[in-house]
Amino acid sequence: MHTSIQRIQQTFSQASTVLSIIAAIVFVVSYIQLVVANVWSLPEANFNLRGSKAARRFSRQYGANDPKKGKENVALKFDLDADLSPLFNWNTKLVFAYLTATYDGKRDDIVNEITIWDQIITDKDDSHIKLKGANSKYSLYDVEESFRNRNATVKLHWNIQPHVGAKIYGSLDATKGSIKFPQLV
Amino acid sequence: MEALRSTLEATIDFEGQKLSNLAKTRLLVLGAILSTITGFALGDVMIIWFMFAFVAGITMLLVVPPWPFFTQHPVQWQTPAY
Repeated sequence: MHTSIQRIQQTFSQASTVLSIIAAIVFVVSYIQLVVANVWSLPEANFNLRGSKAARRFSRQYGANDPKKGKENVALKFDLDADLSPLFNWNTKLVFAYLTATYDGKRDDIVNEITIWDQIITDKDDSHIKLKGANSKYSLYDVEESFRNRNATVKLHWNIQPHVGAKIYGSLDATKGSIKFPQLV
Repeated sequence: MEALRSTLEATIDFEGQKLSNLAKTRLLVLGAILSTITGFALGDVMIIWFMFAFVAGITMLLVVPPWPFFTQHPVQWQTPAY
């Protein structure tokens, strides 16, 4: 601490050390708050499939590798009601919520998952998802030619991006979450 | 040139170094505790960073310049015998 340069260096050095300790404390405290709020076992999301339709698409953007054969694309119409407000605490920057359908692949050990719909929630006031007659955000297609009328399970996943610390993942089961992909007419 | 170097170097005496070191540590730790509590109470992490940046700035201002209270005990050198 003899010269001014030494004082600047030491003050800056200690400030950054203290800052990293604050960051660690903030993450640990906010994670404990999430555990206390029991966010990994939130009540089921209310999902209701209103309708679904399949169509053949011939564009590459719709996954058609062979423009002559085309690819089966599925669109869903659904209601969704889920309260994600417990995920918001002082360290939550945003919550990414996404609805997926999980279904078996060709072999028993393969499980496929596709995203139907997603949303970025930055405010606690918007954290109660209420969708009525929403359309699937993405056109759904499989690696195979068709979904072959298979059964799928719908789940609402969430992903907290905190101000400090690692991303935190979790999911909610959905009521009436067992759906069946439509058959291409 | 020598005068400019001396002004920028701004050396302080031993008692002053002890005092500035103590002030730096206590201000930063106290500021960290206060800003964390405030951020937690108001429910926003961003408050912590801005408040701590403010405290760190104040600490720099208080510790870095050679204030008079850092130069109250100059070293008494022995007078040369010859």
